[in-house]
Amino acid sequence: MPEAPPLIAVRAPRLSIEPGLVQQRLLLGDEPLAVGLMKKGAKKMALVADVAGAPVALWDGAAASAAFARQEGPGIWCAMAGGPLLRVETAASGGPTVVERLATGAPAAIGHVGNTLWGLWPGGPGKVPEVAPLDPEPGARQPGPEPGPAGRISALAGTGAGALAALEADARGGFRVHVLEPDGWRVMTEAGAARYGFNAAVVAAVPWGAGLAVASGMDLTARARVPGLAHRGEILRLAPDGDFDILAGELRVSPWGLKVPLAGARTEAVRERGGFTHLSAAGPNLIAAMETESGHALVFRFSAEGEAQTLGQVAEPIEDLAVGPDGTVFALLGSPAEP
Amino acid sequence: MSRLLVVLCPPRSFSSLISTMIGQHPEIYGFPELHLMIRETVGEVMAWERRCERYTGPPGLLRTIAEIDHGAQTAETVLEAANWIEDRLDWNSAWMLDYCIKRATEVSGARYCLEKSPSVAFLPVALERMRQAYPDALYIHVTRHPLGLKKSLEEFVRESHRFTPEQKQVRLDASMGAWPVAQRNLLDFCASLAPGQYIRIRGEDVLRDAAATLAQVAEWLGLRTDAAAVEAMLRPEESPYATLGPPNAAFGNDPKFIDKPKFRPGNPRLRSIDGFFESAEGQAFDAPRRDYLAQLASCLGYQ
Repeated sequence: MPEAPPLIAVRAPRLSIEPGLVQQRLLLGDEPLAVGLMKKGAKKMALVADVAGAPVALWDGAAASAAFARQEGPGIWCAMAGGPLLRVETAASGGPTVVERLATGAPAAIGHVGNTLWGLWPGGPGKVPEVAPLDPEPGARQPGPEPGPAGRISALAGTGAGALAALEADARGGFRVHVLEPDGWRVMTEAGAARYGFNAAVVAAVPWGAGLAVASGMDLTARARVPGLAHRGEILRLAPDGDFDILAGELRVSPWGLKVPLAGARTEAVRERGGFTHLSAAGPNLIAAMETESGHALVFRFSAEGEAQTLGQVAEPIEDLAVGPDGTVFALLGSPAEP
Repeated sequence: MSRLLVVLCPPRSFSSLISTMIGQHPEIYGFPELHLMIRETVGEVMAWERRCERYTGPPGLLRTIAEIDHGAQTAETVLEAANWIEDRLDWNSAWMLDYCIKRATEVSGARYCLEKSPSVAFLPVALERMRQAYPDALYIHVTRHPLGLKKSLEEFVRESHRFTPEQKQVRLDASMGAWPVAQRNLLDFCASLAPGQYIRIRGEDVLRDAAATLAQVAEWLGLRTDAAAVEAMLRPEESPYATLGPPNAAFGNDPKFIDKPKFRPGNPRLRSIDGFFESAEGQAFDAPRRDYLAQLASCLGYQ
């Protein structure tokens, strides 16, 4: 494996933004990093264009979640649940500027596939969700994947093969990935995600290689239900045909044969107990962050062959993970507790 | 000497069927339930069994010693085995298991000896004892849907002649309690093992596609996966411990399995746990207990 890239831990205040919860991050054109920040309490959204840049408040308003997606060129789409859909350009002097505001109602999730941005609008009880391309003009909505009785579509992502994928998760466990094909939606993981381990929920998913990299594990709610239960998170690489590899996690039997963690049983990525929290694709490699049982974060790089390399350790859980254009890995730290 | 392979599962989890199937692999010697590691010494194990007022020792252990030392399981060889064990009550339980493994290896040439004693699922101290005595053992954690186990447990209790009506009722009332206790113990134990030292399989998947599932288990163990080896695992009835033993050590495996030891493929329906909680019986569970059980089930791939 080539030389490890540097790992830089960045705390939000160093970005000159107010303490808050980092919600999303993106690479923006030539800028190394963009960070979306949800201010705690005030429920405001801010956008920071680069590591050294000043905060730019885009809008105020009550919101519980947000999503960004990058567009080719300088623009990015920003959406808040229940709020407007905004297109922001960062090339304007004075920082990011809202250049377009759509009154269509923000989608619950945005996914970037090739040069196309897709939005997903939840269907509500008994109603199939809808999807529509957002770029360059919002397209007509069309039926989205139909979740199972206990599931909901929680995120969109592009597969490495250029297909739109929708992640379905239910309240307590299990997930499915739906892929949009010319003749409609197909469940990619009906059997492939059948599991006998602790991948009760998708915690992160990014396009990688020809498919998707999925980090799965127990979220905070799940952990609270079974206090003290030790677990190891896992990272799966889902292939378009439904087959999968385990990069890190427990070995298991599967319809495709015995799956052994590609990282190897002796690597820290497999041995360490904890849960993977963030993923970021970096060319042929995958960067993954794990929150360990002892409360610190480990950052790993996986090669396309699944070989794992520990990039470094951060003494506290991280809020997000990003990879700069030069390969530098940024671990975004949470803000200090507000007095 | 062969390496120890342990099947971990609570009772009523297809354990007799699945462990006997795996034990029929040509390179594995499958023991019946030895119950050795539940106590520190052989004397304590024998005393524990005698409290059940049925046999002089664990019938699986008696049958095993009879089989590997005398080449047959008859009332006489079982008596010989019992006497031989009586002379070794001061042995550490692991010494006795070592002896069984050593003799089984000599008799069969197996690379692994498979042991399963479902009662250890309720005894974390026994699991720890096993780990200390056999640090290089490999483990297969076999799971079953909690509602499937509950139903099976209730059938077993109703049909059992060992319990008074009052004892039966106590067990029936607590039939949903066994699953989370045992599985939590086993999950905690597996989490303490090295990655790759255990594999988890759902019993329902074995019933659904035994050849594919068990071939992968053999692959994990580094054993033969050719058709003959896989087919041997589909014939559990050929195990010397799959039939009724002599009267002084009749069982050593689940009585239902011994009654019908042939593998019958099936496609068990996995009922909804949420559906159970909506029933009158399920409503007796308060919210934290519901969440605990459902989350634990989810961790094992059951909804």
